[in-house]
Amino acid sequence: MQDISIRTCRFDEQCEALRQEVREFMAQELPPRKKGASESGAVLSKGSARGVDPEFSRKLGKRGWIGMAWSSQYGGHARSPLERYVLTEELLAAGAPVGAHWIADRQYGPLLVRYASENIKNDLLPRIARGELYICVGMSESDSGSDLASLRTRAERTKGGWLINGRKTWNSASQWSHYMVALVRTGAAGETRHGGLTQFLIDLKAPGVSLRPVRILTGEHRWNEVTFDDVFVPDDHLIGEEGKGWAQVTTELGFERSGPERYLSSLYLLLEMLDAADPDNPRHAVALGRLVADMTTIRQMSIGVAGMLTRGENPGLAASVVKELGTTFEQQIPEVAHEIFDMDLSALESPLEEMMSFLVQTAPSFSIRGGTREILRGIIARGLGVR
Amino acid sequence: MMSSARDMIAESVKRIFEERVDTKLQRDAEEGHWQASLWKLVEESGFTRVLTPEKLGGTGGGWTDAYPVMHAVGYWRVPLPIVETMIGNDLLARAGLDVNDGAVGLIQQDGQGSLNLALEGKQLRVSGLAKSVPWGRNAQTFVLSGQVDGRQVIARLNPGKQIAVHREGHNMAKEHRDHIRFDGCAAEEFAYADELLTEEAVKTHGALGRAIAISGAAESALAQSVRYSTERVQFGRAIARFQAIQHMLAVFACETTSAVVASEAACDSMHKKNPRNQIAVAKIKAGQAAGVGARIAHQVHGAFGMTYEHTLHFATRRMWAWRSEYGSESTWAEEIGAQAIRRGGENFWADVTARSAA
Repeated sequence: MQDISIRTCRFDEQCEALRQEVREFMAQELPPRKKGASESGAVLSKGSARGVDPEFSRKLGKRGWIGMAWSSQYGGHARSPLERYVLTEELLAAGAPVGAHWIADRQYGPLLVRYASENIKNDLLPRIARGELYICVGMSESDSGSDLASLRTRAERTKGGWLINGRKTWNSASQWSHYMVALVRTGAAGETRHGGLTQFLIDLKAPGVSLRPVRILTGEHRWNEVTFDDVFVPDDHLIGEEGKGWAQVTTELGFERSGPERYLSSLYLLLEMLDAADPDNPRHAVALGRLVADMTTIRQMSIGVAGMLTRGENPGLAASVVKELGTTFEQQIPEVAHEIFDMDLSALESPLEEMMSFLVQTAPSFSIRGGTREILRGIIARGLGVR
Repeated sequence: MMSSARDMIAESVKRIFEERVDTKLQRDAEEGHWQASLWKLVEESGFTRVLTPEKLGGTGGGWTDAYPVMHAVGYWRVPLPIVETMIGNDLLARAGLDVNDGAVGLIQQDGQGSLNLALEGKQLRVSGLAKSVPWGRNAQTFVLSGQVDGRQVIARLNPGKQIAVHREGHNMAKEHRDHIRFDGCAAEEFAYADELLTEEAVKTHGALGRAIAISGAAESALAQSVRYSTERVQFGRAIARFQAIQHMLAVFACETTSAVVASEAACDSMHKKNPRNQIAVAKIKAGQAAGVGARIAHQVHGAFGMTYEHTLHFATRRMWAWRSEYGSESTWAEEIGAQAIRRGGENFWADVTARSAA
């Protein structure tokens, strides 16, 4: 049985100073949330890094708030994971449109810092840090969701590089991205099924790449299916080691699983609920008090994992615990809203109803993206020694 | 980061409880017998005075140092009023009163308390029935927090003629919970403590003590469940091989981790200005872990776990009993929920983040 303990930590003065800086910046850049004011749909883009605004991304880049934790050699700012944590939670809480650069900042920047050639690092990392270059995730395929190791997109050697054939799907924000980091098959799976997988950095403008929009159930175009038809990728765009993609992806998911985005997706609904509730109604107070307790604790755990990253510890198991609890909490918020308020969700006359309608429809994805609930429980069970 | 004092305390409680607290002792205690020799060892080892200043013969530690002792009381299922005595001694010392040896009967007298506290000249007289006092019949000192003329007082009373055990009782874990009658009994000592202590001192400190001990008991029940699932064979294989069992245990682990983190965070906030909210959070999360955890532990253990012969219930009955003491989830949730609603959506995020600043 592995130790799952997570030590909470507190933010020091430097982190809190950064928090104030971010708040001041956001106050200038975004209209503050007004109680009871309908924002004619604007409220919907808030939370969960949904808004996409390259101009805003460039402004953040200018402030030094993308690639914060990388070395300055590559356009980063060598700040701690805890400082990056403060920045991201403040951006999400303010509903900032960070969707364009989000993935490159969170997981592919660090991946490139670790594995890419000097050429690529010098070329791409400063552009990512300036908020100009975006990268999307290329993992899932229509026949390979939770069973990622069964993926079939292939890369075959050719002169000076590789030819990629296959199809990735459910790729968020890929229509705005310049590159995809794709996990593809380059060799035999072997006994563990995790062998023969390799990560490639693919230019989405390269000949042979085509995007087909995939509408999500609200009707919005947020995903794409990306097809590769003999797409040439030069040798130095193989990221890390040939055949070691599985281990690299597992590390990457550790970063993806425990951040503030794992419990803040429904924050705006919670805020609306607090404004709509009656403090003297015990039914309202008890239900919302429980949510406050949940959020306080999940945030402490999530910060604890950031602290582990700062100390160079492996947070794999703890990160899975945070994601499981965080997404369960996010999904619970609309349930509680149904329980305590009488809402007619066909009229959508208030921000509460608007937010509610939106979250009821999107909340199922919280426990699917970045590793399904079932996969996470499996990881935790393995940590307990029962798998 | 663990302090070394805390590490040393954790080491020594583990050494003693692991060796001394076995099923025989637990069963003996549940038949109503006071475990005098273990109590003596606990006091001699200084566990009941971790929160007491050095000049009063204590360790001078804070709640982060008290955590491993209270956690161990839950983890090793120790049938003694260690948590209550630590808290009672802490309240006495902080109110500037003397700390004596012996078990403390902790009396919660704020809010809807049924005792009558009256000043007679310089004496504080206590009358009425104090209900379900933990280990009341075994107490050598009673410590009471309450209100007199709108001010918070801490009082110490010693058993004597004017104090009687009105009814012996116990909670689900067979820990003594006795009704104690006070018949105009004069407090041995008392002090006003408005500035020193949070309101409802016994309730808040008690709630944190229970949250920590529940975390310990939940960790024990989880460890027992994990072990059992790898040993119990059904359908030709260990039941741990079934995904349904694996996922239940994963959920249990998540809930337990939440309770631990929330309790540790509350300990960490005890030296700050307003720890009450974080204590509320800890009690809510521990209560939830108690409910979910005990349910899963028993589901995994099947019929074996329902027998008295098995050891699982020493943990699960404590989880259930402690969940209901010093305010259940709804009490604490109503308090912090009403507060958050009054502050409104616009202040919520600022309030949340203010709690994590150093």
